[in-house]
Amino acid sequence: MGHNIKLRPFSATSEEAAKRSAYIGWSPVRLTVIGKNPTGKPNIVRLKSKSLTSGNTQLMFKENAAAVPADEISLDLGNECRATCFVFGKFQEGSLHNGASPEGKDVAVEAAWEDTPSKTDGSLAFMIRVRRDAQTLTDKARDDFTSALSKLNACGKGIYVTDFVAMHVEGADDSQHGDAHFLPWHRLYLLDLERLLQTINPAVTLPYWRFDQPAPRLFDEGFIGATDNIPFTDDAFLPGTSNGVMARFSNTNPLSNWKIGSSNGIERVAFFDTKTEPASRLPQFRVASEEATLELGGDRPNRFDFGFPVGNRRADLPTTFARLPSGFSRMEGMPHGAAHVSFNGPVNNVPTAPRDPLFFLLHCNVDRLWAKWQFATDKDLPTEYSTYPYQHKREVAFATPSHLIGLFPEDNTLRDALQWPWDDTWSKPLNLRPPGTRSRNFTKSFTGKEITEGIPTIGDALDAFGYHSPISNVPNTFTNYLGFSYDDVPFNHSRTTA
Amino acid sequence: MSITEYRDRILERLQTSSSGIAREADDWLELAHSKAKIGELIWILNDNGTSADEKTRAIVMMNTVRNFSPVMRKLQPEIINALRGQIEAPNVGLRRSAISTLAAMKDEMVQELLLEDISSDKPEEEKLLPTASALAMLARDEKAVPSSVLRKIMMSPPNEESQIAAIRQMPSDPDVCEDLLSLMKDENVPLAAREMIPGMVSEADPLAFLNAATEMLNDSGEESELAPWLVKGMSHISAPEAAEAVDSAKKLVSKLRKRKKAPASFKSAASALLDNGNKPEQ
Repeated sequence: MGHNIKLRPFSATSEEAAKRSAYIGWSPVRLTVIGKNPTGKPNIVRLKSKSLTSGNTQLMFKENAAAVPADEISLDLGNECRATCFVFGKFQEGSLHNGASPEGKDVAVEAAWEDTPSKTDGSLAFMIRVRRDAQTLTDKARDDFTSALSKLNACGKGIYVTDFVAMHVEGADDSQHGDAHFLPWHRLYLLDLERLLQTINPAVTLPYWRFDQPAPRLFDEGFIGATDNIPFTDDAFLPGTSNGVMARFSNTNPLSNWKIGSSNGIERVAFFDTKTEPASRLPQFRVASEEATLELGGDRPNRFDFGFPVGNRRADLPTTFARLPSGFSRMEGMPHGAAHVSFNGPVNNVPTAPRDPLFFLLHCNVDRLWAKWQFATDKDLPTEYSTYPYQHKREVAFATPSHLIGLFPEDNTLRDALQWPWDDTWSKPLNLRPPGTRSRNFTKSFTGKEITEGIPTIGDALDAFGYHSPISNVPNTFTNYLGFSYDDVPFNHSRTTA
Repeated sequence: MSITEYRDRILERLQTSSSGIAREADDWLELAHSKAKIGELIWILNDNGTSADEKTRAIVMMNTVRNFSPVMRKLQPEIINALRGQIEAPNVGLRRSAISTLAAMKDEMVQELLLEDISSDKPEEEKLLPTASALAMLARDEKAVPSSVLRKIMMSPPNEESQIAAIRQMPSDPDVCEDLLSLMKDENVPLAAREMIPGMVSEADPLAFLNAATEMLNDSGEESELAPWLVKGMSHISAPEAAEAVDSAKKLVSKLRKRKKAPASFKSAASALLDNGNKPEQ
């Protein structure tokens, strides 16, 4: 028997589209509720979360952006027989993945008319789909990931090779490295790939490798490959090659077919014991701990600041004066660079790094650290210096005292950059054409913001979790939420609550 | 614990943390962004009076910051020049560091030298680098080694490592399938090389592969070390003209996996072939 109450997340307009879109994270996602009470009593619907497994995943609701999150909610569908609210995963610190779904849809929104609360008249299963620590993935989640990745690799001829390996080249460095572009560029790069993985299996997300902790489950024949350990010496360190030493895979691991063009397998050897140690190489070029890394960006949230750091961090100055990457993007050297050069093999060298899929797990952790820093310090307003240093001054009133100009985020406009290769321009100075099919073709998604004309901007990446875009109940208003979250980086609802 | 408390706890940890990492991070960034400091490293490489160890150390420093150094991109011609000066250094470690770094930059001069070296009949100890190392370094540019050279090394390798490296990079064109199949059958060839071949040949010449694989399974059974890889190779085949041969091979695999002695690795590979693996959630 069919249900009378229809539940439509994101912009879904059919049951099929609703099922396709029912993958959410911690950020609020619009949920449209449609129905007419068959009893003729008021059109009020009660929504609640119901776990579909023995796990503890749970959904929460907000009637509008400013409301306090609630476990249950009543919505008056009125004469239009339609109302909108927001749904999101409940962050439960300490439980598996902090309350996110381990491997698929395992929690549902159940809807009932308020006058018959015990009779469910609408239901939609959801996955609280977030990026999880590779070390804690279930076997199924691991296999779903390796299987989808292997399909994109397609024995060396797939889009992983033609597009994603080709994008991360030296000629595109002006967009990728050595600058504050580094973090947003890689955030978009990861998301483009993740969205493609989700076209193969919507339950898949990129796992992250916590390079500051041992990860024996990741460096295993069943996952990213067992990796030999060699001692670090100056003459042992080779860029882009491991001298032919390969990561080892079980024959049932889909990654055992990994190829780049006609080259079989993955060259990789580590300067640390992957089973017992975090990544490391030179003692003075550390793969810093999470806390130490977060410390790089400064630790005072919501302050009235001009990008000046806590303590004596001169690199946090606005870029007009600074030559070095500023704020949190200082982590490009340590720990990001240090993690890369903890290996011999393609992963230690920019133009070849994505040949090894470990690259994406490493960078997923880099992005998670950035997301966590943004969460802790509220640094996601694109027009704020301390979020992103490249800002133009907006024209201000003639009477504004000069010492106040530029101090407020509203005085700035983000000096945005369309991002190579999606922007369809040639990179400079090497006039490198966009590779493969990426030009104006950022992967579309049913579960996150559709990127305008397929060309993402830095602004998209800075506010990836949708704090600043208008969250409203007006149909067709879409948030900036890009469609990904991390298991340990929740959405801070207190910032949007009235 | 509310989200606000969770966040406050992170902040509290940050405010009390004193790792001193900022200074270290800035030091590395300064090196990466300093023309003078990178210039010093180049000078060390060019200086005849500097020891091989110090020169190797300079290359390591360059390679450490290269991934995030806009200055190194600007000074690339000077760096290449300095590295080329060390290609024939008597010190093996320095020579390997310089050659490897140049190969990572796809430097044509070093590619030519390595290619000439691996194509020659010189004894291994007289070559700039061992053949396997040279092949690994050249592999960063797919066009650097012609298949004729790879084929020669693959069929008459100076050692096992070179044979594995050559097979690893061999394009799986139909005209090399016969050679590859002969190596797959040859138990004197290292397993690390043989196990790559099913994946290469099953796509390029599925019928020839199926013939060879079924013959080997019939002869050596499910317990041979290569058996799981043969079965895995079968699972790649989708060509319609091979459908009948695949069905016949599946029957054989199905029979073998029921045997008591069938190892777990064989059973897993057989399951992936016969049971169609995991289906993604909708």
